[in-house]
Amino acid sequence: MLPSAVTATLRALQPVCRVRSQTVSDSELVERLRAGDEHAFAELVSTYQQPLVRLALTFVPSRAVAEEVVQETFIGVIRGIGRFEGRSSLKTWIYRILVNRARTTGAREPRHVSLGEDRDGLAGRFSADGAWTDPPSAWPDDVDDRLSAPQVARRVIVAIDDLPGLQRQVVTLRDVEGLSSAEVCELLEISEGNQRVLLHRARTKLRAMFEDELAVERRS
Amino acid sequence: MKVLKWWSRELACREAVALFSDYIEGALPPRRKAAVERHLQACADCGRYLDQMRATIRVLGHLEPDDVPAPAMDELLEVFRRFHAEEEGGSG
Repeated sequence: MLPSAVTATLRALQPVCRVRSQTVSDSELVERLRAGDEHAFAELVSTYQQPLVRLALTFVPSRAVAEEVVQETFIGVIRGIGRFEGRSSLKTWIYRILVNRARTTGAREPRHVSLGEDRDGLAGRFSADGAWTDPPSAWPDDVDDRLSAPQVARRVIVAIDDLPGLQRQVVTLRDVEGLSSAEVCELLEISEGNQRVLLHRARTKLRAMFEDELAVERRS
Repeated sequence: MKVLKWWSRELACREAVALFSDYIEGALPPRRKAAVERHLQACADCGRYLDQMRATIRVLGHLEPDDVPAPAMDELLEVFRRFHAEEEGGSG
C-alpha cells in the first residue's frame, strides 16, 4: 500500500483514466463483442460515447459533425473488431478509428504547431534577469471544488476549444481523458518532444485561465 | 564542458516555469531535474506556480462534458445485430 502522498503525486502525474471498461479486460470484452453480445456492445457505447464526442470535437467544426463521426466510429468497431489483434489497448484502437474518421470528415483548421504569440498569462511578469516581478497569488485551499463548479467547467471547455488544434487535441487526450504520452504520440502521429511542447503550452494557458477565474471570484 | 554546465546551472524563475510541465511528466534529464528541484527549494513563488500547474491538471482530469447527448444506442444496436446476423448467415 503506497502512502497517500505518493498516490496523490502519482495521480497528479498521470490523471486517472475514467473509462469504465478498464474493469473488464480488453480480451474479455473483445471476445464478447465478437460473439455478438449486445450487452457488451451497449456497455462499450456508453463507456466511450462521451470521451469520443469530446475528442471528435477537437477535430471537427460542430457537435453535429462530431456525433456523426462517433457514430461512424462505433460502426467501424462493429465491422473491425474481428480484426483487432490486441497490439494496442482496445481504447487506443477505438480512438485511432475516430481520429482517422475525424481527419477525413473535415478538419476545422490545418494541423500545425502554433508558433504564434501564446496567451500564457506570463507576459510582463518577470524582470530582465528572469525573476518574478508579479508572482502568482496563492490559490484557495478549495481550489479544486471552485474550478470544478459547473459554470467554471463550461468556460474551461470553451478555453480548451480556443486552443490551437494540436494543443487542444494533446491536452484533451492527456489531461482530460488520461491517455499516456506514448498513446497520444501514436494517435496524433507526433514526436514525444513535440507532444511535450504542445502539452506545456496548453497547460500554461489553462493555468492562466484558472488564475483569471480565481481573480474575478476574489474581486466579486 | 559547456553543455554540461548549461544543463546543471542555476535556473531563473522564467526558465524554471518553462520546465514544470516536463518536470511533472517526469521527462527531464537528471541534471535538469536536479536544477529544477534546487530552484524549487529556494523559490516559494515557483513552488506555488508548480502547485497551480498540478491543480490545473487535476481539474482537467475531472472535467465533465457539458451536454453530451444520449447515445444513438438503438440505431447502433440495430447495426450490431444486423452485422452479426449476416456473419452467422454467412458462416452457417
